[in-house]
Amino acid sequence: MITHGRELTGDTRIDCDVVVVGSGCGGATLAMRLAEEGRDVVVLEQGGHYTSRDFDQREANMLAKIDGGRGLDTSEDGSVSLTYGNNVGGASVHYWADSYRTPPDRLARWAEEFGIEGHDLAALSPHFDRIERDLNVHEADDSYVNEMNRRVLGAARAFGWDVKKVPQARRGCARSGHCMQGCAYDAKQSQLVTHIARADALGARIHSDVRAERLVWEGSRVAALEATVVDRGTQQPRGTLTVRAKQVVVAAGGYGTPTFLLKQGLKERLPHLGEHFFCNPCPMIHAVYDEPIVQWRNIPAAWGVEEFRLARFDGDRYVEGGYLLMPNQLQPAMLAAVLPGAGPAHRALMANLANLGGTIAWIDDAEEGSIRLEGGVRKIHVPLDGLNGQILRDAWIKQCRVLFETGAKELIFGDAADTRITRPDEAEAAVASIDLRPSRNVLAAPHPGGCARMGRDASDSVVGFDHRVHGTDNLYVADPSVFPTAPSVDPSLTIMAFSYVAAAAVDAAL
Amino acid sequence: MSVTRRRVLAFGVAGAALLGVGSGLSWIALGYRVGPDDVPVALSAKEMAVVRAIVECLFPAEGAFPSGLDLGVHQRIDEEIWSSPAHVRSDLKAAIQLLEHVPPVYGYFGRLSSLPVEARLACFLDLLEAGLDPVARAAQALKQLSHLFYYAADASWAAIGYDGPWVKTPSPSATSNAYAEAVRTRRQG
Repeated sequence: MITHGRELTGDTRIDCDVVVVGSGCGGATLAMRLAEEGRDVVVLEQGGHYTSRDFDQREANMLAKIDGGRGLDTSEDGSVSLTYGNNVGGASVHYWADSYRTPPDRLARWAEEFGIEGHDLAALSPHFDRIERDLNVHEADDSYVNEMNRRVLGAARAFGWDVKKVPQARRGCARSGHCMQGCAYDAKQSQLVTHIARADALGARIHSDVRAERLVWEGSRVAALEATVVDRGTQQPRGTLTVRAKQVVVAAGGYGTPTFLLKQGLKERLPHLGEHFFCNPCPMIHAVYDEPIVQWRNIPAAWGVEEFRLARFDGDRYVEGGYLLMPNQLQPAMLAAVLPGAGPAHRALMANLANLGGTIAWIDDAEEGSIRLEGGVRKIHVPLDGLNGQILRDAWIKQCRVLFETGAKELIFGDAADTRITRPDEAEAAVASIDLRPSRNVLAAPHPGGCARMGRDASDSVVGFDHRVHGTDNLYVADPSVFPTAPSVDPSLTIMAFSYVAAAAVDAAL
Repeated sequence: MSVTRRRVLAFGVAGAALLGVGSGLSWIALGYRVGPDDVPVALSAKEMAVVRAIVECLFPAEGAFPSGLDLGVHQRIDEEIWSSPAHVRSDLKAAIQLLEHVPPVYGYFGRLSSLPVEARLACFLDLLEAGLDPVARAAQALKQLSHLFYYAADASWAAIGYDGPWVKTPSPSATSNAYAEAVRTRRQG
């Protein structure tokens, strides 16, 4: 049963086997698996519960419904836009449906460099198999390849780069291009229509509009979780919900989980809490064509350039790479917000909307950021200088190459100085001139994690290989916060597969 | 992945200074008038007048482009600020105050909202590229919010050749409905 906050009155108390905070890829998957095992599961989601009937494809309406911080949250210095979900189903409701397995080289690195146990290729493969079946993960046929994708594919092949179809979690996609506004056709296989729906059918109790506030401790055991029921319209408290559960799982996402745990005062005994942050900062370049591109329709990224997924070094010297390169897709209002400048020049760009395209790169963070609390307010630091900065610049260089090869007449970097170029030989100088100081560029951060990483003990991590928080009896984390690094691809399938492992550990502890 | 997008509402390191400037100037509210149909709920009359002035210079009616004021972009910004968490709301209000009073530093004689429309646009573009972080960030925040809501309005789509959503019936958020109720209450009161 999915219960909305408005259906709860006064102060409510619930007993259950497991309470899960968060309903995105981590929480929904874990809740489903435990429900399949016959456990009594309660899920708390601070955002609202919306269905395809609510997904009206209007950007402003949907930002207010399903985007955390209404899509306006940023890192502490304003450098990076934070993208996360605030609804039943979490960010999967507004993601692009890209569904990669964790690359074997990344799993091997996690094992060798960070000593991760129980999450290797052999352990995760059966889970990937089932997840891909359940979410209908497949390669889209050519009818789903829009003009921007077609051109990026052609350019990458012309350079001899490794370019592959992006695995898609879809079933009967209508090609509207409104993936980021929630799928009005229930075609995108988000958690909302897959794992949440199955958990619900199996008897899990899912509460929307309920914000987890405080863990009540009895020694090293969490005795209860206290939450606030919020009014969805005004965001004002309208009651409380107290859950007494045998096991407690925090799955509030890469931003939410460390914030919640920091608010519990756990930093002192878990020094790695809030550290090792990654978020895949995404630099984009807009391109002007002589012909219509119509970037806003069909699948956002049917093809992706994997040539540069791993950074290459010559000894200690960075050479290139460390990102995925994708065709970009933005609906008009968001595009208008991130295009540089204002006034007549900006209006001229928008008047040419159909001929605007572009690319985006997901940086595989090489340097770690952090999350901390300041006066109870979350502050997120994302380092953009150093090696991250070198990778950013290389990603811009490669985007210039690919975009000119696609026939672009002008490239627009979107930085505060409004850097634009019209010839390939201008790229290096232009990229070198870009100011990486705060607020000079538009970067999105869609894939956060790392702040409650997995390891052997509190001297190197926050949770153990069973996802249990060090030093506690019954507190677990099941989301990308536990990853030692970014997975180097869209993290959704990795999150789900890790949740299968976490669910087994929680189930065994009951 | 879900990309994006918009940003720059938290003022971070510069926030304390910005808030200080904003709150220090907020008493200078004499002489501000909002439009007869404007009903600010989150913003003061002065702040609404400043936002109105920004929208007016950024989005004049021109050819197929409708006026931003006719689309109610300034009222929509008030709604967004009303819906935001308290710390974001106070940052944005401080940003508006800063933008109103900083133009003399950049060689403009007068408050932003008092400048003629053409000079106001030139000034706003200068502030967007300002070397001072808090000023550039304040201008970016208002620029991004105003452009987001201007181009989210269906009346702007014909001018840019956007064929619009396939779902024909809008479904406003719960916060939008609550804001509309707050506007109704204020209008009656």
